[in-house]
Amino acid sequence: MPILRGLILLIVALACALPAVADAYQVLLLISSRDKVYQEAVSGLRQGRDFSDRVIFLSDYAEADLARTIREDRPHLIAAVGDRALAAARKVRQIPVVSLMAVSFHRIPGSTPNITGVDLFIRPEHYMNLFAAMKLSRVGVLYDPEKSGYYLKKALQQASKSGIELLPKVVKSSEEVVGQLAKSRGEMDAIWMIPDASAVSHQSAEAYFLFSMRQQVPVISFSSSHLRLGAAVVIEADQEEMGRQAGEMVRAILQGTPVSELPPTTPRKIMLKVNQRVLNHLGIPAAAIMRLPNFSKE
Amino acid sequence: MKRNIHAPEIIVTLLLMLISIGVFPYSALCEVQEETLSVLGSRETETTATGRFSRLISRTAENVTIITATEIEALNAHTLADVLATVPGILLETQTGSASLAYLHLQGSNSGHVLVLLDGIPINNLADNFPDLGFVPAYIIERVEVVKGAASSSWGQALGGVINVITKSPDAERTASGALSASHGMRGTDDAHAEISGTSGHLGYHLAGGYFSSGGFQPNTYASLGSAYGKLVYDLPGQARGIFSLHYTEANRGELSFVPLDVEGKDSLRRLTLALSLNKPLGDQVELEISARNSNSKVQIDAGLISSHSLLQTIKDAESVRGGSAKLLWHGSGNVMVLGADYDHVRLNQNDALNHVDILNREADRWGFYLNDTYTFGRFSLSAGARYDITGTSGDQISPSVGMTWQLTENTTVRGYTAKGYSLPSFNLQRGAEKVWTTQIGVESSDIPYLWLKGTLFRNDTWDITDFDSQSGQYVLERQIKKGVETEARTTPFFNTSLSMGYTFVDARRSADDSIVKDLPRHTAMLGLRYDDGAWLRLLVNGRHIDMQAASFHNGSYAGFVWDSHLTVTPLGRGEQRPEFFFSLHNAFDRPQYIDEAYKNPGRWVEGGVRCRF
Repeated sequence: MPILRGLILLIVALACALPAVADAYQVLLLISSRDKVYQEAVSGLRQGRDFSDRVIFLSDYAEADLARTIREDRPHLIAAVGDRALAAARKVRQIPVVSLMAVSFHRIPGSTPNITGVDLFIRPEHYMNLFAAMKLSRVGVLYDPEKSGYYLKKALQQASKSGIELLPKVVKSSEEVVGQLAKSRGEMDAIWMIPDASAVSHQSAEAYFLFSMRQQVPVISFSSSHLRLGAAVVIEADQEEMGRQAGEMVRAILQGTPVSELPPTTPRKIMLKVNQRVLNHLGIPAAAIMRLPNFSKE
Repeated sequence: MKRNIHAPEIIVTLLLMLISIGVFPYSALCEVQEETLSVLGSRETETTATGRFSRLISRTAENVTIITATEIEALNAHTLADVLATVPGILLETQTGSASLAYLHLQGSNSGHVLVLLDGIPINNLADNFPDLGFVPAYIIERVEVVKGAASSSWGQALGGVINVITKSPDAERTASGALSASHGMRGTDDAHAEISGTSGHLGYHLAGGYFSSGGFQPNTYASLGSAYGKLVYDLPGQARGIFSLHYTEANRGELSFVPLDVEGKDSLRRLTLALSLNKPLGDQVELEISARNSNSKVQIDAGLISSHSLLQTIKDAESVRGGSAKLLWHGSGNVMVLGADYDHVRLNQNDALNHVDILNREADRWGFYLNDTYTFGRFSLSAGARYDITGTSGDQISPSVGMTWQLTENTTVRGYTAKGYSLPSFNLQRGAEKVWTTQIGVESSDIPYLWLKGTLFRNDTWDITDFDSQSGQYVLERQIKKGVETEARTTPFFNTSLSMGYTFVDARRSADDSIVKDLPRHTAMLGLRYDDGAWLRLLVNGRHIDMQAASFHNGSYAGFVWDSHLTVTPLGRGEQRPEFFFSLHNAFDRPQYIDEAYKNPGRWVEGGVRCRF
């Protein structure tokens, strides 16, 4: 069959003749998906564009062969944006990895010395200062020990220093959130949402705000998307700035700084946002909150 | 046709090997969740390749259902027919068990209207455009994607929908891994298969083989299915990748023994499919894929008398399909476009073996050219596509489509889709294509706590549909309108248990006299329960009820629900080096569910087995 023979010949010819056209680049920018949540951070990371990069969106591929890309393209480092990107980059041991926008980042064991990055968790003392300013003494927090146990440990230490009683409630999946909140009625005078996928998801987020409304207690959260749902106050990391922080790490590594000298860091620029209507409804004065130092305020 | 291979020895040997070895390393497929998107109030959903490129399900305008490898495994499925039998909206008439002929109904369409693809290669035969679902072993399947409604703007002849079967690929992370599985059931129903997979240097491989046999659940019904499958993936310079795949299947089946008519039937099939493809990124946004394929099959169908065991007719079909495809994929920001072409040279030789006469010797060249695009802006996505087909036998066809999705809330998507489609008639008929305009509107939501809901309203306006007029004794062309609703619901797990239901209503009527089209399912209901403790035990219970609207002369019977249950036990827990024991109870209450008394469904039967990965 001449057409079929021609097609097979074309395949073989292309396989042999198509050159390795990819230009050499310094940074492999591995992004979990094209979701807009990542766009600001990536924009911050690439600001200045003083390094060359290649962008791969993992969601575009059923399975992206990262090992092969590394082997053939030999980038100097990987900037991994998102959890899937970090999970894929973790398998690469021979080149540095800078993680960004991955809530799973702090679960990377210390035995992976080629990985550094910017944690999505904000230092707990910022929240404790906020709780103190709001005159909250008993603050409930839902968490999964496997996902955010280390953060809760630090938060508990910080809380005891600040004279605040944290009431941790364990959930292993978002389905347990409603039940756990129901059991906590009357125990707490505020509820704190942390970026833990077992405790907070699209499905469970609403449960916090229903609880807030019925129990007349404020919700303090980490994402401004929760403000419109009914969160009273949000402390949020500036994602573009986190991108810039990761960009600085990338440049430092490209200039020869060993990864061991660039420890993981927390978000540098954090913003305080309030939902005035909810605060008014709960009778919490906003003035003391807005006077808190170290925040960009909106 | 006598079965010439006996599987029990192989199965017993495999079982003894497994038991003596004790435990096997187990490679868990670790699905990394995008926790960040989840906690930050965005969402990452599944993707589908049903439109010839990968898209997020939430941005797919068509009515799509996906069945994953994990779900297939939980069903203890033997063939593709077992997998599809659990999909709401699909009705299968499986006559004699897993590997037998299975007739498919989907939104009022029948088997010949649904294009079934194995890694993008059609398995519908030329003689009847019939996809033999019992001929595809389940162990080679990674994932099944079902598009309900015309998909001709992407795939050509697909009036009723597309079932895209994606086979397993080499394990990219290890040099060698694999799996062994063996089961034994009533009526000598045995299944054994083995897989080995890995990647070494630039070469990845996945090799598998299996054998299924059953003594059948009705008189003169039996099935044996032997298969071998291989996929080689080779990394070429410049991020290019070459993929070679081979799939060989042979089956011998007794399909029928109907005493009132003194007739019995059996068939034997052989099919070898070879495919070679090349993927090559042309920069960060553009990808080129070229493929060639060659598929040869031989089928022998014998019909004879039960009383005298004499043959009435023996038909031998020899089919060959040789062709190739090329497509260019462009991933822009918010925009994905694919431009491609398909070519096939098809040939069918049909021979009356008793009289040594060729009934048909026909060949044709078929071309298809398509352009599909999905553009995403904010909460909306717009899909448009068009395809021009030169069928070689049934004229040229133009198939446009347009669809839209609207992300109403974070957890609710509204879909709308309209498309023109067609399907080809039997290759031995000088007849035009059957055609459809499908319009579907649907919504999918998990906004109600603890519930996932999906609903679709559809209208399939079909014309030039071939139907047999029993009064005139001739085939006639009809216009038929098929309207209906399809609903699905699932609960989130509560005490490790989730419930599911599906209900489909199809009102199929002839335009000429508004009469109901018989032998099509009118009401289909499915109920399901799933228990999974995440460690030791997994239980699936599925029930289905079908009101088939069968013509009275068929003497069909289909009252009540047919219940199947599948239990998987991992006494050493799940994870690495753990064997899995599985048991299935089919048709627990021994209910009849058939359109025609000549083709009765299997009654109650049980099976059990073990599988291990290493």
